Amino acid sequence: MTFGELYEEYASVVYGYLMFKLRESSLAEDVLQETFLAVHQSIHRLPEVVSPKAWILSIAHNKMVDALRKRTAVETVPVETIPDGSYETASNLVFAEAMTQLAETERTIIYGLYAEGLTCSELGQILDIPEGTVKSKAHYARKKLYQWLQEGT
Amino acid sequence: MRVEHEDLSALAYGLVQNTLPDVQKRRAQQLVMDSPEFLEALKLEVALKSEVKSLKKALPKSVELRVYGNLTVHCHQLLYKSVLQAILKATLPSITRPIFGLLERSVCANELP
Repeated sequence: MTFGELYEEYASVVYGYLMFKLRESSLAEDVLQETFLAVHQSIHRLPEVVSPKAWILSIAHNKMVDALRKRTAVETVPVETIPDGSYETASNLVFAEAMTQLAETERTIIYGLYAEGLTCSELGQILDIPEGTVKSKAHYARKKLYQWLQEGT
Repeated sequence: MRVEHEDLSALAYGLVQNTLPDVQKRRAQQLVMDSPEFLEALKLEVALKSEVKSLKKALPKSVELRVYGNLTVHCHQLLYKSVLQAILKATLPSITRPIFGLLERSVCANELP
């Protein structure tokens, strides 16, 4: 797979992930560029990579954490602070509210499972946590969201 | 046979994500007919997938092209620099190395598109 093909296939995946986490298009664009620059520099590792999607998303996740750290250093805002953004539809707004009941890692896991179809093992690689932890967090988060869906709020 | 609720959820998730092996897929399809509980779990999974997917932002074409353009320029610069370095190092006499170092910083780093 060439660099151009990787970009074509995964740029939208990475951007979607970054926008979900950051909700700020200019920062997401910067991190997208940093991510693919790093991918280009390590492209020789690709043949040994099991899941290119998880590999690229783990690079994106680390670049995003770095970007937030840099911003924290400048603005003295906690790293955990995710900038507020707007969702496009009313339905999104209500569901986004339900998602805020979850911890940050749980939100990321739910997004990875349902929006990107990632496996628990791939999510473990991206978030650098054991697969078992991903499974238990996914289970807990799902239960909460099921409850929200059943209540129809 | 009683099917545990956890098992139903996992099965429903697998069916929605299309990740089940054939045997389990057939079992899930059978449960759609036989088990109202499974049908409920399946509805929740479909709703959850749809809600989460609706949060996903598409990559605007303008951003996609701009970032790719920037990456291409950067990659060409790196390639040019490494090729030029190799050629100059191989061809220039060692006495010129300190000058080469200065040129490398000012010419290779800044002069390309």
